[in-house]
Formats: sequence, C-alpha cells, structure tokens
Amino acid sequence: MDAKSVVKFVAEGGNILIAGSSELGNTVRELSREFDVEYDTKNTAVFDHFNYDQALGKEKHDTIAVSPASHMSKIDAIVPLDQLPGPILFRGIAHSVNPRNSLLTPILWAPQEAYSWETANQEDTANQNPSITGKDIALVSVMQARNNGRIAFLGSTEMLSDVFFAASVKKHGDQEAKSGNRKFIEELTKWTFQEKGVLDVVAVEHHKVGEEEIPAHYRIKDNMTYTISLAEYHDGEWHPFAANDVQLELIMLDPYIRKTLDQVPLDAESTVGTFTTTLQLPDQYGVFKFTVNYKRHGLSYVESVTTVGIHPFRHDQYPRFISQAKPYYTSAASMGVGLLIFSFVYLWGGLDSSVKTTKKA
Amino acid sequence: MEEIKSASSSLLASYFKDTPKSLKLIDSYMVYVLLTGLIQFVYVVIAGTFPNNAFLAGFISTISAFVLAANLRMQTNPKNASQFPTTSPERAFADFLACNLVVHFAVANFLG
Repeated sequence: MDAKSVVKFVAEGGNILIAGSSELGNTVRELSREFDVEYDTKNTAVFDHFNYDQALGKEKHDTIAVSPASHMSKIDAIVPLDQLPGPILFRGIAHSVNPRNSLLTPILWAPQEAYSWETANQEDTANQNPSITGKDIALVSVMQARNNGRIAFLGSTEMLSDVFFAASVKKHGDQEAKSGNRKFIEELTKWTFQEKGVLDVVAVEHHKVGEEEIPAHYRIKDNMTYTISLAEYHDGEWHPFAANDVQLELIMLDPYIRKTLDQVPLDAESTVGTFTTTLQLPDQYGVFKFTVNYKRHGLSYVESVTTVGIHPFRHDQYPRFISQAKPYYTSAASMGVGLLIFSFVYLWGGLDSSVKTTKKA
Repeated sequence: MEEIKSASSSLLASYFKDTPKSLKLIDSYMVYVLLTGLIQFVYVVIAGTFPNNAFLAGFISTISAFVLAANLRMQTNPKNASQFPTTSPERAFADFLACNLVVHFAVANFLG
C-alpha cells in the first residue's frame, strides 16, 4: 500500500480515518501531506505541564485533557458540543494543517501551554524552540473533499482505546469528570464514514405560477415557483433537512437572481425538507441554470443544477393598442388622411394649372 | 426693429402675391405636418418613451411626410425648373405619392 493508491481511493469517494502516534511511519506522513496535513517529526509528542491528566499523564505530562468548550470547533454536524460529558484525553503526536486549504478543518486543537517535543530527551528544552506550540497544534482534523469523500486525521491511537474511553479526567485545578472520548470518537467516526451529515437532493421541481407541470421553456418576466427537497441521513435513516440559509441562484454566466429559499414548515409526516420560492424571471432571454449550491461545514456538499431556457416574447405576444400610444396612432392615421385630402385638393382643387404645367415641354 | 418689421411685412406681401396657389397648398400641408410632429414630440417628453416603437412610427411618419412634401415643393416650383429638366410636375407628384405609399406601409408595420 502506498500513498498514491489511498489518494485514488479518496478520489473515488472513499472515506478514511488515519490515527497516528509518536512512531508514525513515512507512508502515513506522505499520505497526510497529500491532504495538506503535516505530522511533526518522528518520536515527538504533545506535552503540556498545565493541562495534563493527573492519572494517565502523571509521569511525563504527555496525556493532556482538552476542554471541548474552548478547544473544539463548533461544528455541530460533526461533533455536537453539548453531548460530550467531559474533557477529551489525548496522548500522541502533533500535526499542523494548511490554513489556506478551505476543505480542511481542525476539530480539536491543543491548549495554549502545550508544545510538541521529542519523547526521549526532555531535558534539552532549554536550548531549542519546539517546532509547534499551543493552538497551532492540531490534535484532530477532518477534511471533506469536493467529491464528499471524508478523511479524519488523529494524532493519537490511544484516544480510541478502552482505557481512555473509560477514564475519568482530573486536571489540575478542575473537578474530576468523565472522559468525553467515547462520545467524541463515536460522533467523529460516524461522520467520517458517512453515517451522519449526509445531504441528498430528493427532488427539484419548478413551474409557472398557476400551473403544475415543468414547462419546456419559460418566457422572460414569467412568475415561477422553484422547489427543492433535501433529506439528511443520520441514525440509520433519512430525515427531513431543516435550514434557513439555502439559496437559489439563477445563472447565465453571472447570477441574475440570488434568493434565499423559504422552508415549508415541517410536520410529523414530512419525510423531506422542502424549500421553495416564487420569483419573477429577469427581462433577459437565454439559457439559464437554476443552481442550489449549498456547502456548509460538516455537511456533504449539495450542488443541484437545472438548465432552463428563457424565451423572449413572440412577435404576437406583445401588448397592442396601448392607450398611452394613442396619440401616435392618431398621428400616423392623420398623416394618411392628410395625404389623401392634400392629393385630392392638389389634383382637383382648381389650382392654377399653369404652374402645374409650366414645365410641360 | 423697424427694419425687421418692414422686411417681414414685405416678405409676407410678396409671398402672398407671387407664390403660386399649388405651392401655397403644399406649404399649408407642411405646416400641418410640422404641428402634428411637434405635438408628438411634446407628448413624448411628458409621457415617456413607452411604447417606443409606436412613438418612432408616429414621429417618423410626420418627418417623412414633411420631407417628401418639401421635395415635391422643390420639384414643382417653376423657379427651380432649370434644375430638374427631366422631372415634370406630374412625374414629381407621382413620385411623391409612391414614396408616401412606401412610408405609410412601413409606419403601419412598425406602429405595433
């Protein structure tokens, strides 16, 4: 197995969870680097002399207790904060993420006082600076690729152990609490392996106001209704999706209309979340795309594109005999009548015929 | 001021005395056309350009009627006879009618 084949697996939509430790090998480093995640050098670990767990990290201060309220990202779709019973225990290697990679998000990071240092000779710290410290140390990060493939990076295999799941955490100066590892890992693995936070477009409908069927094409300035139904997968089945920030865009090179869709109120019988809006098409004909481009942290990306043609008025669809234009109609008619009268008088009005025939020669 | 007054009065007098009746008829027709055009122009300033095609059709019909009448006047004026050696007044009037026919056809199409 090499890094390339794993990258190919993700490119085909696969999900992976990578858990490292201080003895992390080169293949996994190389693989992580493909996703902009850089583990610290071999035989290093995260230490914290303030936030260590007093039972598990007593000797080396290498088991740190991370408070989820302040050091975990607030993405409820991945790990909901209010379901964690206590701090999260971590013993392992640090990694850093490229902040410019918008697909990659640290989920858990180290306290301010933590640093990454060699596991063997801890006495050397006076001369050198650690390579990363404090909040720059990511402990757990996740990435969702554009094809919705999900990858989780953990710096610690022991986070997943029964010992850490069952441990109770006692940090210096804090109350003893149950470790939050079990719930944290449960939610994280569910998310990583597409068991939650997955959105699906169930149906897209659009029609003119007052009609029911999808028309072959629209006409400029038509009033129309657009409806999209979304479902969210969690706990083993599909549920209706609820949100207030789903937007519709009407695009022909540029967005002509961007509008937030209203959610139809959910009731006990709803199986999908329905989002709808009624709008007037622009005074512009061409091939347009109705696009819902919904990308939120922790949720799989939704990109629904429906292509529609918007036609101009046909020559016989314009309004006729507009009252505002009556002076113009009258004028054109009076020009015609005036010409008739003029011609009549000119020819038979008994005018000076000598003038009319002067040039007859 | 005096000079302007006397000049304009003598201009008017000679116009009424020396201009043939047919040319006077053409002149009055042109005044009528001009006024119709002016009214439409005032109307479009007040009421706005919608519907633009109808305005253009109505306004262009007056302009073209005016221009064609001016042409007829030039070609039938005995004083200009030397410049139009091949155009008889009858021929000029026939041209005038034919052109008006084309114009009114276009205007009716464009009026909407």
